[in-house]
Amino acid sequence: MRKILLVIVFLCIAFGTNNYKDLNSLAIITNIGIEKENNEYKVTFQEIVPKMTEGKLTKTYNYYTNKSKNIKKAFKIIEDDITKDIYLEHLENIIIKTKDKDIINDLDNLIKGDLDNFNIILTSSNIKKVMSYRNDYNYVSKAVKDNTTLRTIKKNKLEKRESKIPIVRISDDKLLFYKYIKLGDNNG
Amino acid sequence: MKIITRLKEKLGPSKDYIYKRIIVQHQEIYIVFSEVLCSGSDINEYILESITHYSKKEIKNLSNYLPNNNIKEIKEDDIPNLINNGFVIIITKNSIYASEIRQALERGVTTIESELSITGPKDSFSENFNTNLGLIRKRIKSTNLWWEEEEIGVSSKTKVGILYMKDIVEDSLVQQVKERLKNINIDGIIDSSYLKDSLENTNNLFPTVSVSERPDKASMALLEGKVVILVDMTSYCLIAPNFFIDFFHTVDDYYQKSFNTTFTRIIRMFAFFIAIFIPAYYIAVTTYNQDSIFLSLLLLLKAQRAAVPFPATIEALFMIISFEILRESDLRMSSTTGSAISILGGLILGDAAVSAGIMSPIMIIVIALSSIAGFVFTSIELINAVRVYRIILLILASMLGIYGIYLGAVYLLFRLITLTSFDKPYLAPFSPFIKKEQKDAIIKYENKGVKSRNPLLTSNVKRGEYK
Repeated sequence: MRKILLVIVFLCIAFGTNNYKDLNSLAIITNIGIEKENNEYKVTFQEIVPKMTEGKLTKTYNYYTNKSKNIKKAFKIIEDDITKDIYLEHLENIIIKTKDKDIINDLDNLIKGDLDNFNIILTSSNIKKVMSYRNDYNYVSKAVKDNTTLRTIKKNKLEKRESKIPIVRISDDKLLFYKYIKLGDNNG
Repeated sequence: MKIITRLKEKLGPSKDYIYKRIIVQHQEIYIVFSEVLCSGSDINEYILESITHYSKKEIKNLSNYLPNNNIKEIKEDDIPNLINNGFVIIITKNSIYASEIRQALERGVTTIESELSITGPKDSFSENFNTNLGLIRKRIKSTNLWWEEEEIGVSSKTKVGILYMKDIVEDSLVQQVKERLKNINIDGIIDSSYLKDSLENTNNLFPTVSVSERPDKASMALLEGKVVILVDMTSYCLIAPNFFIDFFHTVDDYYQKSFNTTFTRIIRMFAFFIAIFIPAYYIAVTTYNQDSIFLSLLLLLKAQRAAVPFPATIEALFMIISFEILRESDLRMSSTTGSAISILGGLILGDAAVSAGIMSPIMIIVIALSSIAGFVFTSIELINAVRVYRIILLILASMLGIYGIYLGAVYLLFRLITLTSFDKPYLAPFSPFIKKEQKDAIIKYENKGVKSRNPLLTSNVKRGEYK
């Protein structure tokens, strides 16, 4: 009887904490784009879809876009649109096309838990195009000395230090990092 | 003779018992033996030819005249047992004699089959008790090599020998082995494995008594202060006690340079962890803890699993079971059929399963790697224990992810720490930590550097020194 009770307790614990997600059921999101147009937030998710073709790994991208007056609501609508489980643990960048830097504060509320290890990048170019230059982001991060993640921004905010947020644009089919702004410095 | 009538009643209608009546010097003599156990030509040559020429005086005292090294006068009650042990019984008017004239039913000394070594000796134990004892005596000529005989099995009456070095072994260990053997009360001992159950802690999967077909390994164990148990008609000996670290040692370790041995032992350690943990870790990272691997690897895993319709856990269990079926069928078949099964199962079925999208290539790699890693060890008992823990951890990982693996690992460690082999801690020399024994645990010093024996096994710890 004691053994059966132990097994039941164990199973309760096991399934109570169950967070099972098979790889095939995951939509791996690597980039999120946020634009502000006419007081509306337009949110774009970039899903990376890997495929094996002739022994080689190839990647294709799916884009999911939605608009709402509230960022949280826009995120929620996209989550409902995507039939798979949204997986943000490997999120690399959040690309923001806006002059409203307070959007970064809104992001704090959006990403639950301790998920904050992604870069914040500002741009004035087309967001989907910027997303397609994935390989160039390392260059961007290095240019601002790895000081672009939300985690760093939060930390700097706590320690009352400045954060540098890079601004990129596309020119002649190249992703250019041309300056950064300091958080709180409107003239950056 | 009335004795023959009584004997026929006892032995029943079996046709292999021969009752040969001869008359020598006007005296009636009976020769009784089993024709399947005794050599007919030797009986003719050494008994019948001699006995027919003996005088009355010589017949009265046969044990002094018959040309046989093992002839003794016996009582009537001993006859059936001795006949079944290959003795020829000579019944005269006044006495009964038993003369050992066995037929060679054994294979002789053959080469090692399961515990192969590169540079070590190639002879292995066979089914003959005396041959096995001889193989050890040839290696240890000391008079301190003692052995005591026990007879176990109500029907089989199997000869069991307890071997130990009198000047090294602890008396308490020998007594403990003897007591455990005495408590065995079964019909028959067909193989030494029958004794294992009674000698071991049955509630644990890990073997606490090791099995070996190598006389050199048995001799090494004796010199360490362990007890070796030989069983008649068994080509394996039992060695007790057995520590966990012993599975990571092979006899080759002592025939090679210490640096190479250390390297190989570290590889074996890795193999143990790979064999148990790799499938569970794969399940954990593909179903719960995807964040613990970098993105490019995650994408590679996802791409490979894209076409597979089953959850990863079912896929892994299916693979493990398939592999075990393949191993079992390969093991039971002859070598020629076995290789055909390997090719069919391993190559053709594996490739077809991937092409059909039933299995992902990475899953085949993971399960094959963990299974091959398990075969680094020669002990079939350890391989089986590893197999069970592999599945337990896999199920835990599929319920709780890496946290489940952690729980499983703690449980495994707990089981190992609390396990003893003949009251000696199983995880020695790590728990308890014995500093001097570290010279021959994972790291192997040169043989001349290992000057002491395991203090858990003997109080006579000092070895003979190299000069």
